[in-house]
Amino acid sequence: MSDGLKESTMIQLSHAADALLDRCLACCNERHAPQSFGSFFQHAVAQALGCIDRYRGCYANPGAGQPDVIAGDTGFEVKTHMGVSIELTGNYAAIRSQYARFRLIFLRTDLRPFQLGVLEVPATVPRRINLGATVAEGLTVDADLEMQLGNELSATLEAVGTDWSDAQSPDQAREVLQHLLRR
Amino acid sequence: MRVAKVVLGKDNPVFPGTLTDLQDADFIIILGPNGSGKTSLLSPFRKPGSMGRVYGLDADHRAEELTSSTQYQSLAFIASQALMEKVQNLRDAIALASNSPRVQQESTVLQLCVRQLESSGGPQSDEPPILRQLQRTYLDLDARCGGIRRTTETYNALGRKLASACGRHWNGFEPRPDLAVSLEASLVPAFAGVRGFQECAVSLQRLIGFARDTDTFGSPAQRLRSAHEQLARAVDELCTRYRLTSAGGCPAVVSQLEHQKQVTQELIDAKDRLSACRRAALKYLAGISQESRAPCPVCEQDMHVSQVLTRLSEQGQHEGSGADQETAGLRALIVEIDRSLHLLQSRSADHARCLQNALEHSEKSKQILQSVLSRLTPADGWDPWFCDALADLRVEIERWLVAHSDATTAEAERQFGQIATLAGGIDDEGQLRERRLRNDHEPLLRDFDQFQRLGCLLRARHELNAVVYRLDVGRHEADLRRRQQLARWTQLIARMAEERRVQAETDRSQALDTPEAQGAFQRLVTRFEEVDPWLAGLRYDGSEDGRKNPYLRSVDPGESVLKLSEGQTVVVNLGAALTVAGVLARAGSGVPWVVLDEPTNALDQTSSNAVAEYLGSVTMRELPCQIFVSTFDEGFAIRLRERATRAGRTVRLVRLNYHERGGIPSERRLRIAGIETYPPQHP
Repeated sequence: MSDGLKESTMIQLSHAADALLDRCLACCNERHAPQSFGSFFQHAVAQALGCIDRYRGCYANPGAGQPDVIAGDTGFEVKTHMGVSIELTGNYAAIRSQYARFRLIFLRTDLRPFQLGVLEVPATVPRRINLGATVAEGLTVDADLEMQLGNELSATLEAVGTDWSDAQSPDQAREVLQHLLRR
Repeated sequence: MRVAKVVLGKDNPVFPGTLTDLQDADFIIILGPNGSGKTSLLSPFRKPGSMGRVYGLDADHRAEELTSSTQYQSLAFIASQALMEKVQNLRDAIALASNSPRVQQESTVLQLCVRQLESSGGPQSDEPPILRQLQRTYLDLDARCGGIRRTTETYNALGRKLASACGRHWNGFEPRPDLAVSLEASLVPAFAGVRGFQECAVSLQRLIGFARDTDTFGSPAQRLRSAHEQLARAVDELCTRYRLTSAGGCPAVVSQLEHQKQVTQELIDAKDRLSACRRAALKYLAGISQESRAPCPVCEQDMHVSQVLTRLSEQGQHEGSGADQETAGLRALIVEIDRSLHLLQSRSADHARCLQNALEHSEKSKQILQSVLSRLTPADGWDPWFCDALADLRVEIERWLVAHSDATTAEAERQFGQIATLAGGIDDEGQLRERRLRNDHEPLLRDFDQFQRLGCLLRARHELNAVVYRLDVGRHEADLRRRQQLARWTQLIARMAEERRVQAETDRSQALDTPEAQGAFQRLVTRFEEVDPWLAGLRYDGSEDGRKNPYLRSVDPGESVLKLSEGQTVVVNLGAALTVAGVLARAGSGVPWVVLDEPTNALDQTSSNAVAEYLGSVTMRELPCQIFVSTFDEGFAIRLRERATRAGRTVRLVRLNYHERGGIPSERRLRIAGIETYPPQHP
């Protein structure tokens, strides 16, 4: 790619998982709470990350700040976003410095099927990150995690189905995840 | 440049045909009957092309095709239909006359562009239509699997559980549309109750029901015993009362009573006969001499009759009073004996009836037990508990059948009741065990239902996820940019179209709002002073608010709608059209000619004359271009010719012959009967 851009490797979830995400978003919109879709997605991502050996035992950050999920020395910021680029507002630089590795997990909700991507957030946090077909030269795509997370997230969502997507609140959705996926 | 020649094209109904040497004529009148091809001859003026073409001569006298600008074609070709359009005010008339101004046409073209851009600029997705449909199906099926984990693992766990309950084996596998359904069907948990119980239930119920009916309606053996005791009691009582012997039972007692009744009756009869003899002896003795001697009937001593009479009378009186009492006592005894006999007979009949009932009941009991015994024979595969219970029951029944050949005893009945109780216990226990089995079966049914729902879901999910579709994000973003650009262009063009529409509207209301246009129209309509003074009084003030400033000021200033006859409408529209054409022709705006096709259609003679006067009087200064008029009306043509030559125009009169309809193609052509030229008459 030219102009300092390189190709993104955003992936799609399974069509079934995509249908469930779409339904979940529609339910949130019907309840006039579109912002709650982000919480639904975060819980599902935390659950799916926990199925990956490397991040087994990860947990969702109980606080309101970043990162959303913590797995040892790795922090995960989970975003659902409509649009090609995202502003990293907030004290990202300070938070980033607390973790050896920091990943941005995002879901493009303006595209159908939804597109999932995982970017490594560099030590110097950019103010704006492109989530489109191309990424800036300075950013790195974590393609392995993208692939693994895509598989695990699809399996997680397919396993909980509409019990999760139709839950009345993110907390209820998290309970569904914990109840149905208890080993 | 002036029109020199009209050449008809091959699609023209009167092809071939040519009209030449027109460049010197200012006013060309095409005269011919209906069907002679007048409109066809003039059609190249309206729409050049395959219908024909119009040529002029350049400075070197070479033919050059003339075309009216597209936007002015309708201005330059005025058909009779357009002249008869309804008109409310002069502004409408001018709008009719100039209904295709350039700006309006541009606006229309731009709006068309906008529509085409919008229709072509929509999202173009290559998503397979089946994908959405499969997703909807998947979500519907998923909603029916609430509360369970939708995984193959869960599916196979349920399969193994059901297989175990059915005594089958289940190999875990991924449910595929082609084989899972038949495999699932093999795991239907069939309900199996206590084996053998249902087969024997009817017999058990029959046995239990018979015993219950016996209890409800009373025991036949008890009734028999009661009847027997009552009969014996009656016999004993009668034996005591009549000093009878009870040996021989009820029949002997009856016999003795009947004998006693007979003896008593005979005694009464003897006493009756003795009284009769005494009365006869008294009567006899009373008839013979009382001094005679006669043996005494009592002591048989010989004595006087009088003494005998005395003694008989005394004895008769003595016996008479006592004899009546004794006889009454005997008669009462007979009544008593009759009553006793009746009692005995009644008791005896009761006893006989109860005995019969007991015998029948005994027979039925035996039949039932024998029948039940034959049916309650355990078979292979029956439930062991049930077989053991049946064996006990069978032993009891067989014992009863042996012990109670005469079943009229209470003991037989009691033992029958015990058998029925035993059968009832077996029945209750069987039903209890069946209920337990059914309760155990219900979860299996629920599991199977869940198993099938999950199988359907997993198959639908498999089918959905097998659809190959991946969004090309790069292309999508490029499409998005293109659509955004297209949207911007569309907005720009739409804005341009709107500007032109507004401009056209403004132009229409203002373009002719000039003293020149007003003067031209005024001059035209004032020529109707002699024909129609009212019409000549019309004024065009060019005001935007034409309704409040009507042209018909002299008649009704408050009238908002002009009421024009068809002839007046034609004249107003003709005036407007010629005014527009004149202004445009003088401005060199692309109107090389004005064509009027049958302008007198639907007009009466007076109006037709007025139009001839009016049209013919248009001078070259007022309308500086060639005028072509077609008509079928010879009188109109002559009046037009005379008026036009007087107005300083050179007139060419072209006479057409009738064109034969339906003839062979070679005969269907323009038939020009003659061409006449009339030079201008200068006063």
